[in-house]
Amino acid sequence: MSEERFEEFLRNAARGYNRPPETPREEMWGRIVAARSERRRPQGLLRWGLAAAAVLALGIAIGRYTVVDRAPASLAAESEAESGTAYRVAALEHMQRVETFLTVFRAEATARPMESAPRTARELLVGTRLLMTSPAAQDQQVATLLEDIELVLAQIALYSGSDGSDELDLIDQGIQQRGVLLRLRAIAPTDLSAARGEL
Amino acid sequence: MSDERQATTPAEQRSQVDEQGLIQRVRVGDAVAERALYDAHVDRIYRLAYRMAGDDDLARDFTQETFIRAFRRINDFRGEAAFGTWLHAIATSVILNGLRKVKRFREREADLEAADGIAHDRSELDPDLKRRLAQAIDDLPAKYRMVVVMHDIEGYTHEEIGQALGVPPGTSKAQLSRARARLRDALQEFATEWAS
Repeated sequence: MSEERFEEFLRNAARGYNRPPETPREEMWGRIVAARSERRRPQGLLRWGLAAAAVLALGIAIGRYTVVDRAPASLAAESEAESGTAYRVAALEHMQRVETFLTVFRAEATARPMESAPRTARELLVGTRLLMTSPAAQDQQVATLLEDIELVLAQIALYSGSDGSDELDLIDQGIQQRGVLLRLRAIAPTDLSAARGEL
Repeated sequence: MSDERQATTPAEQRSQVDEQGLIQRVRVGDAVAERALYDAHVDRIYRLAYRMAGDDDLARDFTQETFIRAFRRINDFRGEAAFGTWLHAIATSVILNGLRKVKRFREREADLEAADGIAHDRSELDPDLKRRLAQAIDDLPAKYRMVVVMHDIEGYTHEEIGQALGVPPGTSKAQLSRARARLRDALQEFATEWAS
């Protein structure tokens, strides 16, 4: 009996737990459409890139076929390919960390001071800049995203956390206008598993 | 709240047939059909995400991610269960994984703050029952919390919860029972509220 009363009490009392506001249908839909079109566009580019790479590889293979001592060159090419994949894995892992950081920053910073956020942003900024000058940035999609991440992280690195909303609004606008979070989510984590599989 | 499955009504059958048509159209890239599916399900997904996250930005992120994944993987949907069930399986996975990431990050931030000597004092007790209840629900393990939110707050059946979480309905019932026991212990000092 007492258990039934508790269940009834719980159902009534818990109705107010994290009570949702009205669903922001249009805003969310706009972002879903933007993220999906962003994902489709690079795939088209990627197909062209793969086709170009295939033609290039065929040319290289024909060239090598005519060379007597092929072993060192093919080893070098293999090593170069592995190195490129390793950089891509590093870039994708880095992007996952950035995505987590930005997600939490947006959720938390308006509610409470985040004194350590600028320090985390600076750490991530160092990694971002290293990747921007690495072979990972030869992929145009990755390069563009890294540039946008750099701008957002630089803003957060300078975030004082003291005079509140204006600064946060600017950072949030930066994230939203560039669609940084959605593009990050569109890349991870299936791409990461695929890239890891290539290693 | 009854957990017995009702026989499918003619209206529901019609709606399932309509939905199958929409899914076929989504498979060939029909944006209007995508929007129709979104409109049919977004409220329940957003409400669940918001109840679990307690934060609008996170709830939006989780909802958007759910639909992006669902549309991307629409060819994997075989129609063995209702589309809503399949969508909820994606949503619960997105929400639980997302909250895990946020929790890990918050713990790291808390460690850094403690190291800096700027920890926030969160130990003050709030005598208000609603706030204590909210705190007790927050403190439940994420899967228990999901079951409490889905069953006791949002009115899902154990059948629906089991399908969304990939567990038998009996497991959902057992988890709810354990979660309620924990909540009851946590709120023991307010026992007169439900005993009277």
